[in-house]
Amino acid sequence: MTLQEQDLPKAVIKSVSKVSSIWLIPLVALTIGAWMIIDTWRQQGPLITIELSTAQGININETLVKLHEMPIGKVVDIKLNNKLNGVVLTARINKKASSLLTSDSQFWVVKPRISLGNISGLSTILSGAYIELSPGSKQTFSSNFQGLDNPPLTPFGTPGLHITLDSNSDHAFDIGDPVLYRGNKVGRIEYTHFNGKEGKFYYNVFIDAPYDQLITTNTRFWEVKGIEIDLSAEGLKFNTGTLETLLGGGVAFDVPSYMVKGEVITERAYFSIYPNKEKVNERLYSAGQNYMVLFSQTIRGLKPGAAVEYKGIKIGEVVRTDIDYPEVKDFLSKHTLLPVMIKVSPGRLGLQDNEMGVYKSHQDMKKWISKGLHGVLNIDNLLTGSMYIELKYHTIENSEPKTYGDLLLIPTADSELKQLFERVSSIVNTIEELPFNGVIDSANNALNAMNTAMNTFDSASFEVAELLKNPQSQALIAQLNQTLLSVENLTNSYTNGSQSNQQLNQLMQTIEQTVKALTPLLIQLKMQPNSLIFSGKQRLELEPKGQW
Amino acid sequence: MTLKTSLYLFTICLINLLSSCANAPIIVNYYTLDNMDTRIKNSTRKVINEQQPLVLLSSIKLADFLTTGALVLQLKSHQIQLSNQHRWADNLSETLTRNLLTKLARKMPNYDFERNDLRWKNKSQATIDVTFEQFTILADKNTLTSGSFWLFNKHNKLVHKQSFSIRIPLTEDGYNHAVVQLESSLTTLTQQIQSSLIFL
Repeated sequence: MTLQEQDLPKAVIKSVSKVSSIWLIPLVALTIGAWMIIDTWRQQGPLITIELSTAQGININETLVKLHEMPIGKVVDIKLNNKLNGVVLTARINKKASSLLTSDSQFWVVKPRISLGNISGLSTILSGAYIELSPGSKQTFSSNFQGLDNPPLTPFGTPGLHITLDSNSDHAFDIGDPVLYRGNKVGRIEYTHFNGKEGKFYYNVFIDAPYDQLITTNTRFWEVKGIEIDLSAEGLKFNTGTLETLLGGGVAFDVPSYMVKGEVITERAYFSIYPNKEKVNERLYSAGQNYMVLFSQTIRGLKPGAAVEYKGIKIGEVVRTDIDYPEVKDFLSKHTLLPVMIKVSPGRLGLQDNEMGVYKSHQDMKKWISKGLHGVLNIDNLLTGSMYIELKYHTIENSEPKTYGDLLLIPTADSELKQLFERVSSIVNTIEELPFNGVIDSANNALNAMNTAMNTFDSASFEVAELLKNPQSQALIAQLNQTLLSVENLTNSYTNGSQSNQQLNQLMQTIEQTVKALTPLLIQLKMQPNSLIFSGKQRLELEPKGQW
Repeated sequence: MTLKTSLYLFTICLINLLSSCANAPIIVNYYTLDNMDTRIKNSTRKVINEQQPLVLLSSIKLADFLTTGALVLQLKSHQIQLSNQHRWADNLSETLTRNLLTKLARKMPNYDFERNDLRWKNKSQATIDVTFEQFTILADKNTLTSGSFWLFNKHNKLVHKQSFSIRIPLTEDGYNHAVVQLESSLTTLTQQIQSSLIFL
């Protein structure tokens, strides 16, 4: 070792770090970034899918999902569904609103809509369409929803009652058609369904509270048409509903006037819709017995549903007026009788409206027929030519009741109209036989006499006119006028309030007072004529006495 | 003494003679149904209120024997005394009508009462007709007021008819007390008429 080597300081050997501390900065940044991602992931709500028929007016990252006009999410994706007949929207919902995503939640697109009964969504003309959420009541979470084509008519949570109505009327109602109570809209049709097997329409209806309390076990529903015109024997009836029903019709309800209000309905119940209000107020009779009536004259104007009456009271109705019976073989034959099937309701005869009532009325009917009960075809309305059947007794008693097919046959008689025509014909014949010539001669003589009398009267009138033209007569009339004027002046001077009248009244009062004052004296003089001159014993008058 | 002087003296003597023979003047007492002590105090009538129902009282009809002006004392079942010395000061029908009107107005301040006059006919809600058969003093120390009244509505349809018979005992002697008791019977009659107004 050399000296130089010994003087030189020795270097301190230190180990150098392999990783620079500068790397901490990106590491911290990475950590913060990761925390932000996780936090954002944690904060964001669930993704849901909504299937709709069309994506009209909906844009990715623009169209909002709202609840009560408050944004709670946004559409993030739109794609066609698997069947290519609709679209599937994907929307991100805020985490706070995720609890609203239950299996019965409803979604629909809010956009401008104009219908007969409603105009909505006009505000979206400027702001653009959005998706509205109606929360459900179930607790189960769901992320896939079937969107509604139209907004639900009744928002979730609206107090009221759901009921179902059925109708086999020719008129079908539409969603949104009103339900009326005495002209006031109290509910609406929410859903319609046609049952092909039954041939009936079914309607789900919502009645708003507090009107739901009016729905009772015996409530009746009937159709309200826009304009109803009824031409009957009572005249022309013209009814119109509300403007809404004028356009699309509606359903009204009430409890029939002959019924006491029943129990209030609290759960979904089923009712039928009657054709009109008049039918509702008619008591419903379910039981009835069919009979046949055969007519020789035309039955034009007699239709199913026409009344069968007895002494003006409806006891049944016509069921069939066709000729589709095996008994009708040679229809165009001169002697063919037209069969009409009628139904008599025992309930309308004061019997029970059940099988027992039917049996009783049928037994009675056999007895009545044998005693002369006949069916007569009468005109109900001369304007429309509608007819009805009247059951009435004729003097001719029937033999043993016959049957037509398997139904009891009620014999028929000529209508009163026909009888009337016969009577008129008889009267005309009688008139024709009258000795008109003799009557006309007599009438001529009477007219001649009357003519002579008129001539005499004319002559007398002429003489009176001549008399009035005479100056002396005119002077007499002038004098009479003057006299009447004087009488009128005299009368006026004694009318109520005039001076003469007052003087007369005063005079009468004075006389009355004088007579009153003299009355005792006169009475005394009457009892004792000399009492004015000679003293006498005054008649003692009794005085009233008190009890104590 | 001349003939003329003799004739003069004879005339004076004759007049003196006749004067001394003449009867004492007839003393007649007159009575009124109104209490003269309170009549002035209560004479103010209120003005007709258009809002209140107006009831008309027809002139009161009296039995014939009550129209003579004499106070009537019934002596026996069918015998009456028409007093010559005790008489009504006013026409009895007139004074009864006036007295009843005053009593009715005081009893029912919510109604207006007027005489049945054409002026009020269209405004009235009802008309009352009253007939008196008795307004007499009885020998058995009572007074008797009897008769009937009829209540007609504004369409002149009879809605109520009622008879009345009010006996009030006499506690003092004399006609004045009897008249006071007769007047008090009208208060009872007023109450009966008031009760009948519910039929309107």
